[in-house]
Amino acid sequence: MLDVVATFLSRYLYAILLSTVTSVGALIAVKLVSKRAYKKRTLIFLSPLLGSFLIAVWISSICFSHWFTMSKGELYHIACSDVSFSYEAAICTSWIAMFGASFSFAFLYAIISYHFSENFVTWLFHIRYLREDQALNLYKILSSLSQKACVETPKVGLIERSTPFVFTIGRKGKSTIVVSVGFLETLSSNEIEASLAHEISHTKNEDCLIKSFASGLKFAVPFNLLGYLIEPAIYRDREFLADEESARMTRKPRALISALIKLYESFAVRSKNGFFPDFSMRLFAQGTGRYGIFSKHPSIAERLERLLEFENENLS
Amino acid sequence: MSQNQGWIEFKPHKKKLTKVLGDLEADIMESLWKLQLGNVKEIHEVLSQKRRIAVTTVATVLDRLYEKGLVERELKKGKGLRYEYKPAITKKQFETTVVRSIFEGLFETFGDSAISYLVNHVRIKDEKTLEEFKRHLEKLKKGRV
Repeated sequence: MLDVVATFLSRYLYAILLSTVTSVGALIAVKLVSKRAYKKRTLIFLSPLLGSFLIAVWISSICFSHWFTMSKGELYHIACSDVSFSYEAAICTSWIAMFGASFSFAFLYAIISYHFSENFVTWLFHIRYLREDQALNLYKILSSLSQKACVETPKVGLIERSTPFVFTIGRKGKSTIVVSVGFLETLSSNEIEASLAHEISHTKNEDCLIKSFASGLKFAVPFNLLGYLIEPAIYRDREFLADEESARMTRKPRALISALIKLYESFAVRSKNGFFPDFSMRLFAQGTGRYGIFSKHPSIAERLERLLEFENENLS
Repeated sequence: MSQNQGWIEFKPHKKKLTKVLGDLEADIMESLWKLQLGNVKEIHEVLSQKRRIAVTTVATVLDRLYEKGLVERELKKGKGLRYEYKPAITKKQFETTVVRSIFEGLFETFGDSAISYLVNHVRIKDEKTLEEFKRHLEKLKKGRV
């Protein structure tokens, strides 16, 4: 029996080793490219996630082949937790069950977040869609920015809240930029334009697809702790990229800086009444709470620093 | 204003309106009572004379005050979409609501002790207030008869 377990564990350890080598390789690669080469960094970050997924598929194929060679008697022993079950068969069955569950969840999560997030968020936040004649100025800015970004003009959704925030839902070609009344009444027109350019960049860069894919891969592999570090890193890079694209599009990085500061200031008074404002604010920028490797938004200081760097290098 | 006064959280050690509201909430309510009607920028302007504060912070606090039922807002479509805010109650109504709510709470929980404290410790120095107090007592007596 020990031999069988050792054989399986050696395969599993081999898989872990492979996964670690891919991750270390990715880490070295990330260090080698510039911290602002966001698109390359996303690809590098995705590779260990994809690698661990392929390794999990490989282990599963071994387990499946073993499973199909099992006799009905063996399957009966496992199902009834009979003491006479084969350890290898039990390990294989457990792995298939775990991977099957994780993969199904990840698949559903990715599909739902890519295809149905718009409907879900619309329902959750009671978003009211505005026609062009109801928000002429906004559509005018959006149309000009969309032309620059070569994407379809997104729809505008309104949330009737005084708390200022803005975020994008939906995917490329079917996106909606959601704003609150507070966002429109507290930010200047330049700040509004810069924030909308940031949101349009998310659509242009297919961030919905990339984020759904990364989250899917994170959930697909059981015990993939690495995924919990890599996925937020991808999210953070996509934010930096959207900031940079906004600055490139509008040539007004200072406007985005000022918008970010203004939105950050509103975090100082988080609502005690439910999760809504806190949650919705986090869709645009990281609040005063948690930073670091698990945060999906970069710290405000780092965003401002990189925008100033961009301005010095490209616009001065 | 909402009938549920769940927003009253009495903090006896605090000063003025902050006894029942947050620091910023109290300042914004004072500004709004002064203005009576205004948008977030106008409220911010009044408030800026007293303290340094971001307009976005004011907006967030206004959301909280709206949820508490202390502020009413109406969506206006002028140059752009914006809210016009006004207090949902006058300052006098606010004070009455707070006092009633606190006293009701005290009498409900510490009935005898609360009444005995009022009788033994509250000193009414001002003649006019004393007259008012007597008048209220008379009304109460008649009510009982």
